[in-house]
Amino acid sequence: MEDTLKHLKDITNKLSDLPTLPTVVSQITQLMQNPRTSAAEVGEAITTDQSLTSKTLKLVNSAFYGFPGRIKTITHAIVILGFTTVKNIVLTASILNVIGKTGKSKEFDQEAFWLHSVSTGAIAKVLAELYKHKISEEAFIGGLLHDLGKVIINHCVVDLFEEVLIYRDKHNCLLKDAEKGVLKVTHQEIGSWVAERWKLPSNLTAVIQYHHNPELAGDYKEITGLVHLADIFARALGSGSGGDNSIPIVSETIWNDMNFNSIDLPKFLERAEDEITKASIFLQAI
Amino acid sequence: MKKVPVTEIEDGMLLAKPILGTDGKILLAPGVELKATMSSRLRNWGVVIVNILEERDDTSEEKENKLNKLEMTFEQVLENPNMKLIYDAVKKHIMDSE
Ligand SMILES: [Fe+2]
Ligand SMILES: [Fe+2]
Repeated sequence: MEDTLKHLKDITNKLSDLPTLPTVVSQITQLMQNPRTSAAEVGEAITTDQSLTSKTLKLVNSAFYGFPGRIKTITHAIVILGFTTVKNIVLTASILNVIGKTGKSKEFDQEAFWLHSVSTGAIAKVLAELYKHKISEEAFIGGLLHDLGKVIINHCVVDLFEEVLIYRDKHNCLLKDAEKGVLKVTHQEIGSWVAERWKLPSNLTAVIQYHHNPELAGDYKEITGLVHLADIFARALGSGSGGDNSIPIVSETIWNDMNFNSIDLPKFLERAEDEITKASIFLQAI
Repeated sequence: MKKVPVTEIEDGMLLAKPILGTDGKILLAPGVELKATMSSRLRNWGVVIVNILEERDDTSEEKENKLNKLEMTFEQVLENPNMKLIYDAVKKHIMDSE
């Protein structure tokens, strides 16, 4: 553990070029925490950022949210979809805007990576709905951002990232194990470190940190378990690629906790594919 | 290319090899579209089997690619019963898809 922290520090010292989130994101998060904030106030804060506004409206009007083409302003969106949803969309749109194109290595397929991310989000959302957890939006964003650390490594220490890719091919192992071999830390640790610096909600930080061992996620075991399973199903369906040709073994704790044996898998897989199709609108926000 | 008995010719099948008369002259050229009603005429010419172009079935090819990829992805984890369950479900999902 000590060792991991030291290595994490070594790496993060090199992350000088770390992307920053636009200030409007923290502004909105603050406004949202105040129960007396009005839709108009939030709308105004978002509207100061023109490109964020148009991206948000594009997402809001997609089939993913079910009101295609009908919502004209941010205020209108807040009235129809509610504060939380719009905040989540703004958060997602701005993070994708900041990190979507930052990967540098030519050896890493970014398009496949983002399809994997969007697919994981979509499947996590379906799982949340299936289990009637009222966290389907958070589960979606969690899935979308779970591999954030890979983007950061690919952006900030691209030469090391390429060593990781070579190690992966040489040892025919999962990317996270190759990271451990080369960097001594993994994308989970680096991603959660960045999520904390960005002051992302703590459930997202937990998902990023524990999606490969969700039984350790404490209070956030539920959402982390959903994303853990979704990551595995995104790989199984071959929807994009997070940089692995193989697949990690599903956590037995989560499987049993969720009583996953009782799931109607054929129906679930169909819903998953439908949701991925709808969610692919988020690829346009990148 | 597949070999099809003249009695089983269906509308729209494409000839892969020419059909030659006894004198070696080409009666039907490759690429010609056959009709089921042609089978008696072909039989009169003494033809028993025709070579038919396999239509390129894009969906089946795509399915095959997906199944191959699935196979590779799960290669190292199939002893795990839960992973086997996921594998089987996704395999069936791919095969049942249109
Ligand atoms: Fe991961
Ligand atoms: Fe992943």
